[in-house]
Amino acid sequence: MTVQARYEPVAPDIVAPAAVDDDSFASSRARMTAVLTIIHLVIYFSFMLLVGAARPLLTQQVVPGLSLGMILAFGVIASSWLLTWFYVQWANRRSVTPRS
Amino acid sequence: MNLHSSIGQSSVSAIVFFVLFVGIVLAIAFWAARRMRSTADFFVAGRNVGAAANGLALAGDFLSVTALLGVSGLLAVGGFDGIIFAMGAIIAWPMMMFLIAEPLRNVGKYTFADFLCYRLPSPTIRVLAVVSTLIIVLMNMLNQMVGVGALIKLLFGIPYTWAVILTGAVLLACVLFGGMIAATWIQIIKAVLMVITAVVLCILVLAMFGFSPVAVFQAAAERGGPAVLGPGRALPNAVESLSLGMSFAFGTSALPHIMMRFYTVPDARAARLSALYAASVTVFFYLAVFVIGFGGMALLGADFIRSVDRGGNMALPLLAEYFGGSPLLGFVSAVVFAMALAAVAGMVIAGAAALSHDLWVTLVQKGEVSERQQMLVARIATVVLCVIAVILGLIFEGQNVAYLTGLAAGVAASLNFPVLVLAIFWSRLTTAGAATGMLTGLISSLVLVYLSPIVQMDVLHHAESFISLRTPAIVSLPLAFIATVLVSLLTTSEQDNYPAIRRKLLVGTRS
Repeated sequence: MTVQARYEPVAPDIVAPAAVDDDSFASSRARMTAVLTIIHLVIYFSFMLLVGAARPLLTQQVVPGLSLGMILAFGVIASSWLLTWFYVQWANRRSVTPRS
Repeated sequence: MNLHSSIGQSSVSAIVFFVLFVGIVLAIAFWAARRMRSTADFFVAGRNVGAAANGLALAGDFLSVTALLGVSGLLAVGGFDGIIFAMGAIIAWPMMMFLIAEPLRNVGKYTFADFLCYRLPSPTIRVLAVVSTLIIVLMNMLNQMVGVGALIKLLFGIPYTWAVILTGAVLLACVLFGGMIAATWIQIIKAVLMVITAVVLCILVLAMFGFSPVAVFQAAAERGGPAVLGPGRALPNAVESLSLGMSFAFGTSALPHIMMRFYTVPDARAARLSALYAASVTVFFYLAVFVIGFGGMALLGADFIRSVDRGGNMALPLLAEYFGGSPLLGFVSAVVFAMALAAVAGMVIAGAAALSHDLWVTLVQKGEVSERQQMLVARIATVVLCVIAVILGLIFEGQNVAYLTGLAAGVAASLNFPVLVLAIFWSRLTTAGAATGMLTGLISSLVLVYLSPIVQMDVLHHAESFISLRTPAIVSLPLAFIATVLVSLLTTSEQDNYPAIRRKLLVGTRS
């Protein structure tokens, strides 16, 4: 019985040599990820700051059963998903079609 | 209090159903394992199916016993704080995608340890990377033990100590004799089972409240007091909340066993898509858990849930019993057990592989280690890891598993993240710098955890603790970063592959 000594994914890893004409996509991708990361971190840590420092404010119920904190939390979750979605469709639209 | 009188006490029928369902899950796993030649067949079945299936498996890796029991439990006994811990997993996705996943995939490395050794191939780094993998693996195994231990205690009515030992023994046996392929299939089945369980319980709860989630929250607030809708005891000030935020944002992305599955599809476009699917499944799942958790508070009451398990981990199983009696409790318990099995199998394999392949080969230094020997070391490593995990599970009885995950994330964040990010993006990182950074992160976070109220007061039962900080990340992560940068600037590496791999790392390949 053979043992996979390292837990590697079984699907083949198609790694072609880096293509020269990918530079523009690569640098715009780098910029996009940097921007998106910063936006994401700002949103999340602003929320966490409020959680720690503004408890009475967040506990107030906007509608019976829904506090401001909960609404903000759902907002952060939504923004998180939106950022992911935005990046995926942006990157997939721009990236080169793989030759498979 | 209109609770069924049998809830919280073990019953034979629940055990019977539990064993029955576990048997079914294992049978499916082995049957599927026999039929498919390799997991590659499953994943590359078709471009979109591949991405969706992979996304489900990815989400399954992320959604564990912690998510199902721990978060719902925290919601049920603590309210809003549970939402914070759920968010930890959700906000980690963008971080992973934007910073870590693609560079690592571009060079064909899937774990933090692999990548670090690829760039800085020194024995010191190799050993440290293995140690880091093991520590994080153990901390996550600990969560499974605490969660499943509490469950077995509830189900079988035996003391927690025996429950944990029994759990450890059975998990160990399954991993040793079941093999990797069956474990992989349980992983995939588990993702489906988890979502089904969450959806079913969510609908049951909603049905009690006119299908309005807000009504559920409102009822919970009525029973637990309006304070439960806002931040609670877990995060009393800005320092704590920012520290926890750092743990989640930076720690989850560096977990070794998750990165492995990130890109098992062969092309980057499908890979990104599968990550999006996984993020969607995760969000959907947690929304259901919010309803379930608050439902538990409204229908069962925090005090009752806590009386069964101090950390609140049993909220969801108790709710299952409330709605469906023994059969549903048996089913949910089986799902939880399958989840823990899949998680432990994956982690143990990661840990055992790290020990046998990386550490052993490095120490033996001949390079050539017979497969027989590797197998033996892997098996011994498996046993050792399970034993340690059981001991840790006994020590941390009564802690909420979601909370323990936050702690594990804090250690991972300090230990891995600074070095990982610098290894990807910074050319001046040196071997000595990386080693110092990892050690700094590790030691500082563990020391802080030891001095914190969790260990001092909850585990060691001292009257007070040395420090009041509950999460180490806000101190240990920056410390590790600074240490890495400073030492790197003062030293040079014997061998650094960065110039050769930098282009491929950051620019990537044709797709």
